Amino acid sequence: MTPKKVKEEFLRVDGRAWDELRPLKIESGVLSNADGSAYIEMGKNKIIVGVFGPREVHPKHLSKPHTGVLRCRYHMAPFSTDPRRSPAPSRRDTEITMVMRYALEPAIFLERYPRSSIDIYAEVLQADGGTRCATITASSVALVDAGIPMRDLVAACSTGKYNGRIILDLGDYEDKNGEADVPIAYMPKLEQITLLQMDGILTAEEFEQCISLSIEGCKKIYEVQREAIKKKYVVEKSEKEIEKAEEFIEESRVEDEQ
Amino acid sequence: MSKQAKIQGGIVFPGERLGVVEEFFPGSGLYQKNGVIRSAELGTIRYDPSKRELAVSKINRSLLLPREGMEVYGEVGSVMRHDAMVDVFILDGKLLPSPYTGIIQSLDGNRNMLMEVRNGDIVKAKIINTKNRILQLSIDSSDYGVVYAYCSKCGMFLENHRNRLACPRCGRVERRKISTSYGAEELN
Repeated sequence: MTPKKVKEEFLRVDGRAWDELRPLKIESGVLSNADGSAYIEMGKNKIIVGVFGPREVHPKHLSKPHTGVLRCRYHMAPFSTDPRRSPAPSRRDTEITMVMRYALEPAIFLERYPRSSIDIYAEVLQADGGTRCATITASSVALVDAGIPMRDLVAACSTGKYNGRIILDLGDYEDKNGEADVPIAYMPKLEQITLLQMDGILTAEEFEQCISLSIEGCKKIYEVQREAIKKKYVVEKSEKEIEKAEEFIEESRVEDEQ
Repeated sequence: MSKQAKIQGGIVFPGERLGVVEEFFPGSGLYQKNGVIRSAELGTIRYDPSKRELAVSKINRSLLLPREGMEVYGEVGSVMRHDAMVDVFILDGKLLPSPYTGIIQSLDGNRNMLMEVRNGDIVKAKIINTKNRILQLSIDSSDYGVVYAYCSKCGMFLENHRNRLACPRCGRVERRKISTSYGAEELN
């Protein structure tokens, strides 16, 4: 069965095709008091991220003499889910906070900022499955907005298995009722995975399928991230300059391959 | 058009491949990994043909980090005999979003900091060391020292009369290590 046929026959709970992302919107520089910020809408997910730093570490004993520290906070607003959830940090919040840090750390030159901290605060305003991926995607845009040098942008999305099929970008219903869930964070230019988690049971082939599908999804998300940054920093007259640079990059890549 | 001329002025995103180490010397805003030069910043490409150096000048927010030799302004916190803590809020003429902590020390142990600064004073100082968790500051030069001081009895701004600070309200006279620009600094 070709993927095209599958696409025609198999429609998901929300009417999407198996390899289709939810509508994605990213905006950068939304918070005036943060050094960098971003807002993401991925389907019904609505998340706002603020980045502060590099700045002095408080409490000071957490600072490291040879590198900076990346501190994250993932928090779901009490009104983000139905029914209302407690505003106190849950086990899940603590886990995603850690996961966010692990996913973003490889992309940041922390060693350039010894004795400093970069703080990322993410607040989930509305949740509909896949918030950890959306948070990582938005955080990476906020980090660029804050002017922090990075190895690459980090894009994240999840794949999973629902009703025996591998699908991209799971919604809340698919996440809860599906057989497996594989969130992945990916640096598209460096072609490196920075986060890989798996919940549920998959065969080795299914797992590989999930990875390649996720990577395709991350590449699409990366384009939206770039658009969000371009919208804030690159004025229209610079479009030509971007084209020029892209042309050069492509040319240089082809030359190197030869 | 040559490859070098083409890249001049182009806009790149972090992580973008710009060439290999055999082609260019990586300048600022770049990094190299496995022999490949990539951009670390969002910015425009600059190519210097004489040095064969490629650099990226960033177009997003520039970072303000303390470096040795920078001029700072801060508010004095606790003062002890040999050292005084300072909350640095202006770094290199720019207001910081969050303050850095600094310390002014009597390095030879002969000076009494209690006679030089007091809690609540605004000081102008120079960073002499950034290698510790807090910035080490110096007020040794005549340019540096207290720029605004307040009366420790009534809280009024002290006026400078022949290098002695006098309170115009209660008449109290106090001593500080004052800067030559005492009372004349404009802090935004």
